[in-house]
Amino acid sequence: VIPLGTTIVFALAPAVVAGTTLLIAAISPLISLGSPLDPSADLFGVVGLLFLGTVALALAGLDTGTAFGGMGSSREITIAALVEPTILLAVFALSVPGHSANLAAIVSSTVSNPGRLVSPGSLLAFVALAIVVTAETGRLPVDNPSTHLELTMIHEAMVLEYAGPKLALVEWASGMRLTVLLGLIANLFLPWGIASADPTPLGVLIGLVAIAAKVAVLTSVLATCEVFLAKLRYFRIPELLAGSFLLALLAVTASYFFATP
Amino acid sequence: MSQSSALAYLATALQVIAVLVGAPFVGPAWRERPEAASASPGGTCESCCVNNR
Repeated sequence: VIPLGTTIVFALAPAVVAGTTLLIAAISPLISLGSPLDPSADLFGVVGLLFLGTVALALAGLDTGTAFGGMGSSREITIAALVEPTILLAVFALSVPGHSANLAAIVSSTVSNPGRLVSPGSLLAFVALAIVVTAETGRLPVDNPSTHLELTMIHEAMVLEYAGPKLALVEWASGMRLTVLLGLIANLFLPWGIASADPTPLGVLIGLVAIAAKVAVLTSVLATCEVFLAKLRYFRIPELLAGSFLLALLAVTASYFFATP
Repeated sequence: MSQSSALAYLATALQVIAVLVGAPFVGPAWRERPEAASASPGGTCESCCVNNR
């Protein structure tokens, strides 16, 4: 069912969200460091692709012309405006030790120098990224993915008019986005098990098992936290995200102060 | 195409497939639906608002 009056923006948004997420999955070093798309695997590119998907869904929410769609889009963009600078700063903090924003370069730099993981810059960047990933993927305490209460919806309000295969694609893309970001966090901060730049068949197999295990552990942690967390009031969310921005800023500062040659 | 280059392509394809397959398991909400909580015996509008406002 497609609502009357909607345009191609509404029809294309699920494909854009799924497409950008799959592109992030393809360029990220999840199983191997030697991806053929490695030159494009820039963390700033990943942030841009994430935002492209967010904007596509926000425009689709506005395109429906309903009160809920507009309200959800407004809330989503407000949160995105607070999340994106934090992701960029945390990424910048991670790129300082490896002297590159390339994802594979950051991961291989961490593999060769694991001591960096316990540096203040890395720890602060991890906490900041963990907070913004929960916000970016619409999880508790920022958004409740299972609610349809008009006072609390953010992501669900935007996609309220979708039905059938398009709704399935939106939901699938949301799951893919969370999976990719958890995998990326896992390999940025715990890169062990990933196949080298010249992978062997055994290396690829170990990389696949390792990333599946890491994402399973992170999903269990997320599920456990969600059971014990209540959703924050909407007007409290900027405080949480401002805190994560401050952590990311401190991470950048610490990366320069405690930089190892 | 060398073997390591072919394996790099294979690894990229595998990670995209892994994300596609893993998403339905990772993505779902892990919390009881608030509508169900408020509709069930003993659930109140107040408890729902407190938890989800």
